Amino acid sequence: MPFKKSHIQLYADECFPVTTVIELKSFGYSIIHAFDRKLVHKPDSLHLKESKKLKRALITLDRDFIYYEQVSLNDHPGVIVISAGSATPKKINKICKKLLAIINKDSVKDSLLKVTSSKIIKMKKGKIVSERKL
Amino acid sequence: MKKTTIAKTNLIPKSKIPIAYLLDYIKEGYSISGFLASYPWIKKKDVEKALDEIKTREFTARHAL
Repeated sequence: MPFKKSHIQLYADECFPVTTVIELKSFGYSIIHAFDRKLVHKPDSLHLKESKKLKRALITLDRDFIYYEQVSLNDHPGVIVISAGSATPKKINKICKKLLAIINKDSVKDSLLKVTSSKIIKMKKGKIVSERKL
Repeated sequence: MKKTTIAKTNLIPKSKIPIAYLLDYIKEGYSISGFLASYPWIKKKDVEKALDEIKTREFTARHAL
């Protein structure tokens, strides 16, 4: 195993590449894609509800979720928005591997993590709570 | 949970995937098959429609007329 398993469990919405999900699974991460649940072409609100139902943090490339966070993520496993400057698996895989090696489910719960290639910004109720280098 | 609706534009037809994602793949040397592997529910013909739309919107508007 090239890096340690994260205890965080993830649910990827339809914007997240299936190829990245396959790769993360091969590294031992627990991640389910919306495609596996037959939940493509569904509204974003449904993905938020599904991730809550599954008790898995929602991981996405869709920056619209940053605005939904201002509504409420109370009692939600959390949302991770990857903003890599590119949607290709090469870039996304690299960020996800670095991120998942250092976060756990408690660091995401009730929060939104905005993740770029260089930093992680943690937000709650639309406000920045903390910021760290990735 | 209160719903917030944000209008989504410039998407691959019959999907919620932005055309910008497709352009990232092309820019970085991926094939259309590589893009379809990431989003397997999208049909190749819809990717071609998206590319045609870009061609019509950008190229025709500036150069072809």
